[in-house]
Amino acid sequence: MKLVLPEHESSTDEVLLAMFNDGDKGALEALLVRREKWLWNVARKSIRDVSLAQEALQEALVLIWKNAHTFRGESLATSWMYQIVSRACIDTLRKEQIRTHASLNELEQFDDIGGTSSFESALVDGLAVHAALLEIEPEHREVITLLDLEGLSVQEASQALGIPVGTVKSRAARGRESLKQVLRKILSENGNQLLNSNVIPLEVKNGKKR
Amino acid sequence: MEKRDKADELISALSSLEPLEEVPSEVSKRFHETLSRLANEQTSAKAKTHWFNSANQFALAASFVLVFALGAVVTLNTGDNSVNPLDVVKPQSSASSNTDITDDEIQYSGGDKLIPIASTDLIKQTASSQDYAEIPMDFYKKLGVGSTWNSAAKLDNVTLQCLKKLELIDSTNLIDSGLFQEESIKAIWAPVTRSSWNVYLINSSCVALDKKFVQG
Repeated sequence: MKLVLPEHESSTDEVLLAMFNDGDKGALEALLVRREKWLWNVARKSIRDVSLAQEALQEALVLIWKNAHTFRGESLATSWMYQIVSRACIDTLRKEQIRTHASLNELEQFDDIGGTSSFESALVDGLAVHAALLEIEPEHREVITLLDLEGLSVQEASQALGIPVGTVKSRAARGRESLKQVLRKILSENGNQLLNSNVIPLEVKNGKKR
Repeated sequence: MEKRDKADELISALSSLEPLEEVPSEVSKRFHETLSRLANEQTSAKAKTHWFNSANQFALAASFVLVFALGAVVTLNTGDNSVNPLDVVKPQSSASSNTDITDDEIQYSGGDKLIPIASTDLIKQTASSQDYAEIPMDFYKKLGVGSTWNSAAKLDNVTLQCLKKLELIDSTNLIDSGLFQEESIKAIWAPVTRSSWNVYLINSSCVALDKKFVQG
């Protein structure tokens, strides 16, 4: 079990990267452990095959580690990591194509499954929303998860968390506002093509894709 | 307005958001193994930078004993005043005379007791205007150089980036402003042991002009 230091636990992803670049070697490890599930899902949404997704994740880990010094803090860490994982997925698929002598069409099929670096595909799969959720305050995320994702009522969330109804409401409002801000940042960081495209409502896209 | 609409749209679709898939245990195991390996590699690389590579410690210690036994400084390397700060040490102090010793041959006869420790104290900054062509005997005392690796937390960004570039970010005790070959330089004092330092002479472009070794 990795020891998570309090200063790591309470730091944002971006701060952890900065700490790593300042010589705190444990900070990047803490960040990657924190985002393990999300990173895995980015790889899985790009590559359906579990073993290939695992290869891609391994490659992405190394790339993130070796390139952490290039992170300038001008974007969200999740956006930066997303690009790296996506690139690793494409590289893995290309290597697989060479190894198995798969045809270009087959590779394109892989890409059609989701192996693109476009953040739009992440939006399709809700990964961007998950990324945004990871960026907001834990206590806000907790409330939003219960209310919006798990469908609990305010009363039920209040009981589950052991906090007053008013607190649930205020945390939900602040959380949604924070979420909106982060999503806007993700949208603006990830290409005008997204902003200019007709974004299909998430539920429709999810239904279509899966 | 466009962005706001899209963000609102995504938030309104939260209820249909699919939960993240759990990481399979085998994938997770390998994930953590790779992380540990990367962290260890980094630690090893750092240890090598600080010349504490366990593989050569014994040889280093043995050589050090030999130096003292002979009562003289032995030349271990043919002189090379190359600019690369991590390759060459050029001794300047009274104790080390004018011998050239490579980094990998710096000695640690005292084991861990001689290895500097990392401190949360901030890296000291001084402006002695000293000409570092020659470092006077006991100058380190006058300057107040310590034997700990201090924190770079409060350094200005330029200096910070320079230390990162030179990989001295966490092995520096003091930075002194001085002169070298009629040029303003920063002398970065990096403890090698608790009584010896490498002194990197860096110009304003963060180019290492020379490196000297001072024995206390």
